[in-house]
Amino acid sequence: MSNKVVIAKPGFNALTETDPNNLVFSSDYNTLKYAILATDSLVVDFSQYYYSEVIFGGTRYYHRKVLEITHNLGYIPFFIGYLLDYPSSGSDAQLPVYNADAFNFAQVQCYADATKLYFVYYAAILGGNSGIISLPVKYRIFKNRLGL
Amino acid sequence: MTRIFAVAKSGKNALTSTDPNDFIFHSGYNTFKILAENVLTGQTIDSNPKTITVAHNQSHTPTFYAFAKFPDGKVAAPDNHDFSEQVNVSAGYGQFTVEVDATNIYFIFTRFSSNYNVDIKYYIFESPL
Repeated sequence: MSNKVVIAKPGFNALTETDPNNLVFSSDYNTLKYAILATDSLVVDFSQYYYSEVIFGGTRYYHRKVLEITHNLGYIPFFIGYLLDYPSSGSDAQLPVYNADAFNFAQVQCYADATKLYFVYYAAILGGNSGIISLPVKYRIFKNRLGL
Repeated sequence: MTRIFAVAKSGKNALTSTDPNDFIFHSGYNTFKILAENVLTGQTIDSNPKTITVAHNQSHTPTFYAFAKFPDGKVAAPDNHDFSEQVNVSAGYGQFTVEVDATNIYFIFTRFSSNYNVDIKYYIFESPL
């Protein structure tokens, strides 16, 4: 017989309960192991566009800016990225986020590999070739290895 | 008297703290148990869309989360596009979404032009949706 640690929810018997939804903790089940919570800023200088095209009687400018954050875990972890105060509403959104109309689009996405997290701003904006924005981002990294 | 089992973070008092963020573990708060996790390697996206169906073997529609690793080596959560696709939309890679019902979990990938391979990691958590 294997030994285990089980804490049941009130009203349930830790010795006999088998439904994980009725347990607060069971050593039979892994959990997410929370490691890092941090914030950073993705700064976009709209004068640094990489492509432009004449469309709809104006010029549409393409932007791609990547914020790289080193985690140095040596493996790809379970992660979640957020965009804070989106869109200047005081609300925070889990990434990815997309915004578009007939002439423009903008998106913020989040990626990981074995050394870094990447926040990517990708957009095409009619007349968008000047000004600077700073997008506040937040991320949670768990110790759990994805195995990818 | 109700008994609790609590492990406080360094510098916090397990006997007096009332903030759940001060605890490594507290029996008064449920843990988000992982019921199952799996990796699907070398899945070929050869149609648009391509749906990969996996039986989750739960008795209910479960809470889930997933990641996909695209050919550029970057890993993304659902609804993100492939990292490289945002530089060159003709690269041929796509976006993925995840759906679930009482029987299966579905990974749905888009393909713009060329076939490509992905690796998928998914988690099944406790608590029905």
